[in-house]
Amino acid sequence: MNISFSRLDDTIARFTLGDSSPAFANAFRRTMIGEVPTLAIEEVRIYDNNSALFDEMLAHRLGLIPLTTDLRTYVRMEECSCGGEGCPGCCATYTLSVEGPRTVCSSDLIPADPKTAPVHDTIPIVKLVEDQKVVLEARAVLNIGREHAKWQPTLACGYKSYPVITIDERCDACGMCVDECPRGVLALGSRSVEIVEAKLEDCSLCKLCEKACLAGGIGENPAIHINQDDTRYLFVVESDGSLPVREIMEYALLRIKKKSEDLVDILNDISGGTVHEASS
Amino acid sequence: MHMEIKIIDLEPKKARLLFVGEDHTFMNALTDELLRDPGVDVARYIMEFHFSDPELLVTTVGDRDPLGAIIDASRRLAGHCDDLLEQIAGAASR
Repeated sequence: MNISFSRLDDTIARFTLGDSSPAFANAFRRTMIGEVPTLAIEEVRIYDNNSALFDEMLAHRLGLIPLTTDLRTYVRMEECSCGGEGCPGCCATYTLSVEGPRTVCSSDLIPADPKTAPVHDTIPIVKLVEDQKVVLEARAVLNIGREHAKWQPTLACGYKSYPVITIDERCDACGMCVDECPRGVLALGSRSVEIVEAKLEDCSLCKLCEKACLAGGIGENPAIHINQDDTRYLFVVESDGSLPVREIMEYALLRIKKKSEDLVDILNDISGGTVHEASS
Repeated sequence: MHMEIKIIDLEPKKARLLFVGEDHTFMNALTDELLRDPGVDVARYIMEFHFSDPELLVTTVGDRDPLGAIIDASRRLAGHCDDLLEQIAGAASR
């Protein structure tokens, strides 16, 4: 299995996963979305709220604010040595106190630990008019996206099969498929249509070119064929800023690896090691 | 978070295992990897309801041991992850 990046920075990664299978690509995608922990506000103690929003609504909006997460400092509550009581090792606390008239923004959330500040400062939470006030304390915990979408570390996270475009000798370079392609993947060559190599990965496999070719009266089969390579996948992973993309990818792979290793250990225990020796 | 497994049925050429707390994420990758083993006949999982624990069924042909096949498939999965982790570390350091 191999991976080659066309882009890798803190917020976006674009890469090709090669020599893989649909099942592994999907497991990787699902693990990145649903099993990488991040911080999100889970408990809110509201001291004062006479804004237009109900307490529940306010708490829900607070929960959805992405928070910078340091996975080396925080552990999940159920794994914490405090036994789920809540301590600085598993909880990040925030205070918010704002009086109107103005809009309460994510920058008004003051973290006890500056490393867990909201990722963006300008996320609006609620608009306050004269004499309205919001005073609250909030507690963020680590959890995973499978539990609730507010703990997803990713925004766009998906893949598509690598496009394989073949143009056979029946192509008469009429150019209808070139005009039809919404992504500009095709160009008109001297004798037939050609693929613009730099744009090949932009192909969305919409097959409008095949339809255009058929509409040109070429017969029952088009001269251009769009297929997908089931061993190569084009991934896009965007982070919401709580974790760098590289960390999301690495954590997800470590998670799949740990599950596999756990399974090996358990089955070895069950079979008393005999299967292990026999199979290896 | 440790994996918990319950063995429902274990015969020389057939095994049924319940994976507590797992979902399609891992089970689909595992069954796909199992089916790459020529000694494996059937490898499929059933989740009766959306919230049920998946039940894996593996049957084998020849003298292949079903638990051995699962162990090998898991090792291959872990190997894929190692490959990718190494390449990501290499790409990030460039």
